[in-house]
Amino acid sequence: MTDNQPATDLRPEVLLNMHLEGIFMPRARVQRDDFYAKHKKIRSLHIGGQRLENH
Amino acid sequence: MRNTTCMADYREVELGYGMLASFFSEASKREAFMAALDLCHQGAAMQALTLFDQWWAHIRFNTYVSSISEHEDAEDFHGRLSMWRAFGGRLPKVAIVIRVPFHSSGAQQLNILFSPVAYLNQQEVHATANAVIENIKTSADFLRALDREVVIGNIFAMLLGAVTCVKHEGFHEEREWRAIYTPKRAQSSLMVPSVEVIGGVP
Repeated sequence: MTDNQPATDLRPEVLLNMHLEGIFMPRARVQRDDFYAKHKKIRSLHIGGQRLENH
Repeated sequence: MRNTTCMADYREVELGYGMLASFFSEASKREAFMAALDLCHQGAAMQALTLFDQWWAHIRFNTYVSSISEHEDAEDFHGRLSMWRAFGGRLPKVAIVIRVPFHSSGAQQLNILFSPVAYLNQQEVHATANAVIENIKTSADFLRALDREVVIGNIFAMLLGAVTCVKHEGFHEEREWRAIYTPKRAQSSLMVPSVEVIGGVP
């Protein structure tokens, strides 16, 4: 599972939980959606000052 | 994960609870919440609120939290100065940059709630609660079709999220997300308890 996975690939129970989160925790739903919309690219990792791509 | 009573601000859970209590202590707001849910499942709101009250003592003293800070790509290398200063005291500090998946079945297996923190004042908490009431009314047909226990479980999760993920607006730059574990309510066999002392605090 990656953060780039389209919502259509998610299992029905996961989609249901997301929908329920939108009803009962709308602010968290918006924050979560905004975050993943903003950070789509694979992140790089820094170890000891060296940049390691695509980890 | 750390017990909320041992966190930097040991009143963290109390703040959210106080704001929630202020909303439900107003009769008109409490009744609006109950009436909206009665459209879906009669008495579900009262049942969920009673359940939450019964669990409150456990939530207050037996909630464990892992906190992470959302950051921009530009902060990958140096991190955020205020975070370095705020956490760890004089001990050596290490930052781990992680990418959190959009969805992970790991959260279900660990029985954790993973949520962004909301930095709200009382007025904003009330506005959010009013928005939830409107959402419930709009989605009444959908919620009515769901099992009553599912709806009650979601109300409970909403209340749990409200008490554990609402912080004072002054902390907004932390951009915190929390993994929340309440073992008395939903234990995971993958979680192993242990007491570790970090900087003199367990």
